Amino acid sequence: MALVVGGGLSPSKTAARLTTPSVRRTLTGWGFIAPAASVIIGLTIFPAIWAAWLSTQKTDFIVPGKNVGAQNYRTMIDDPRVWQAVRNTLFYAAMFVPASMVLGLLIALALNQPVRMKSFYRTCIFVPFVASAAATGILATFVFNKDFGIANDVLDAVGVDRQPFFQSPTQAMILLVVVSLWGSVGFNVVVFLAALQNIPGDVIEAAKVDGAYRWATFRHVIAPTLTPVAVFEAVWGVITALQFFDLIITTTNGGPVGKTNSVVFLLFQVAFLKAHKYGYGAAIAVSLSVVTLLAALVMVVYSRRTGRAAF
Amino acid sequence: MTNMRRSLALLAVAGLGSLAACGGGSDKSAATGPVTITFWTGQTDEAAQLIQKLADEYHGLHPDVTISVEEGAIPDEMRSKLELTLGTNTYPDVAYVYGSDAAALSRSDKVVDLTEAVKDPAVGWDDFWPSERTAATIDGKVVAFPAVVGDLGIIYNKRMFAAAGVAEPTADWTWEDFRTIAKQLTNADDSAFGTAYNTSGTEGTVATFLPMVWQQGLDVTAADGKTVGFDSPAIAASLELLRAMAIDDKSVLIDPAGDQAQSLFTNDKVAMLITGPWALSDLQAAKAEFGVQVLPGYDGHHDTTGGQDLWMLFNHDDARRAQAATDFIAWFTQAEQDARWSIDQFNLPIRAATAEQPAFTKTAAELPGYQEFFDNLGNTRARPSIVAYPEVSFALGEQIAAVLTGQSQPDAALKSAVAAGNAALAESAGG
Repeated sequence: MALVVGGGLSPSKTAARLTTPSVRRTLTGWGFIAPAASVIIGLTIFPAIWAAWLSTQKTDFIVPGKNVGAQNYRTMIDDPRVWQAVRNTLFYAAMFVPASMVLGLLIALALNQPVRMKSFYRTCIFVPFVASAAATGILATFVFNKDFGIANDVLDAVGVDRQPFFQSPTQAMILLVVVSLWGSVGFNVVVFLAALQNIPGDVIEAAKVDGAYRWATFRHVIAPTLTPVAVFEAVWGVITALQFFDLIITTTNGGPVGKTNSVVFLLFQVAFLKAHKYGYGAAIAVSLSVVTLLAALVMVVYSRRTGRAAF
Repeated sequence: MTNMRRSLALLAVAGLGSLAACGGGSDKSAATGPVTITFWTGQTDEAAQLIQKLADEYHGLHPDVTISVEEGAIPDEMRSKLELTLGTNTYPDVAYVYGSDAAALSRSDKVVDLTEAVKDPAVGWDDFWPSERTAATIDGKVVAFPAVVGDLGIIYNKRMFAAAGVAEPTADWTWEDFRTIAKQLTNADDSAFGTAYNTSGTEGTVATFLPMVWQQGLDVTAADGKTVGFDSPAIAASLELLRAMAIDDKSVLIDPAGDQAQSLFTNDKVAMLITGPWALSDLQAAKAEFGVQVLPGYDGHHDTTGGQDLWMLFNHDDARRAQAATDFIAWFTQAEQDARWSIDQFNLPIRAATAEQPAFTKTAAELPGYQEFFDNLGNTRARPSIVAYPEVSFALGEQIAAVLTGQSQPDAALKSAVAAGNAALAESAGG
């Protein structure tokens, strides 16, 4: 192997060019990322392109499909089920994201105090996050069963009217938010806790020395430090909320009367459960990805512009 | 008799094999020699073990034929799994499919046309129940063998009837009687309900409701097949009856996933279950005291929903494999094998001849209600074999659930179901 120092750019010396350090470095670099890149291309980019193509087809894969262009997207705009699912999903996101952050912050602040058995409480908060949503959902159907659930027994005991819970069109979605929070707030807590523990103790002490009360310390010392983490949690929460699915299938199946039908659950119904319209399902999936991507982009760009970058 | 039947069956298998030998000249592989067929049973646990045992026996009788028994997918997801594999080379030779999915799947050119094969007298095609043959025949073409059959009736709780001093139902009862009895058996203080209804809005809900459609001379689709057949004031009245029971009388336990009523029945909290013979052995094991009656009727008609699950066969461009699969399923559905497959699992016989097997007599004597469900097979109707059926069912099921849970009134609900059902039919007709 020739040691070509400083370029070796002569056009006739192809072999020498290939061994140029910069080229070699480039190749080595690509060599390192090739396994990961091929996984991303094979499992993310290719399926995304394929889904985009599928969304222009009308097919159930039993007989050859036909190209319908943008018809699936037009059908979507006129489909009341789609708009109901969009409303439900936005309602869920609007409740779930702020609630998970506020609750996560409060619990994190509490667990950041010098309390006894701190790690026991932390574990308790985090355990539901580790449990699968399917298990959480099935558990919830037992607890909130209208006739035989423990929740109504408790209400009975304290003299409150029994509630229909999952059978009520007004309560079902709120209950799903509550169950989701129970299952996922551990994640917010852990992220906030990590950020809280990153705040140097002397900064807080300095604030105290300067005469800052607890609220002022939180407002001017702790909160600014937490902002990037909060932005991350918000983006993460929105993405999770827009893809809400797993609890629905184990609890309400989208009911009663479609009031808990999310966009992803509708997609599942359209493509797999009932209608077997794979093209239409793909159109819903593609639209949802675009909306999610835009929402995340807007949040990231906004946070960068305002100097609260988390990404 | 048994031996003769078996040798007849074997003869038939041999005969079918030689037919294939004549017609298979242009195919890739020979009509004889070792062959492996893949069997997606949709079953787990004991049912899967039973199939494995029968498959091993068949392999013993036909050493050339090896059957690879796999679950494939749970029955609810079998259609999707088949759709996603039919374009590849990983689909099975035989799969367990719901009768309501047969029409859609039979559009695939991979589905084996069994029309000629079932003409062989040894198959005993006419010995299968008429509703099963209807479900397995799409546009005059036989596309599957019957796999499992069931029907809906009423299982009632004798202890609760006795405690409330209510007379047990008789075979001539009506839906109004059903309402009255359910109300008499309801006891709010004790959280005891007259009956229960599956309000998942899925096929379970629709199957429970369809008898009210058929009993009034109507059907899922109109005669021309272009519109739904349940757009009628009579059906609005049926929905109103259910609404009145659930909302006014509070005599119906709302069962959102259709999975709670049975255990509550064994705890004497639900007096009447609308269900099928598959519930009997569990109820017996739970020491429930129960009787079985036909569904309540309209004008003396007691039509009921039949469950017709099928074995569907798929071609791999290999006549030898298709033939082996056909022969195996023809053998599997003979009375001797069915006596083990169906009756050992407390399902009803898939054909009349199975009822002459000793296993049937034994089960009918030992399992209360089994004979009644068997006799009720004469009332069964098949859901229409049309591509749009699952969507029409979806539209109807959602609205039945809405009425029972008080979210919608019968007239408005029926109107929604009719509109959505008609849209689905129009779309599938448009191709």
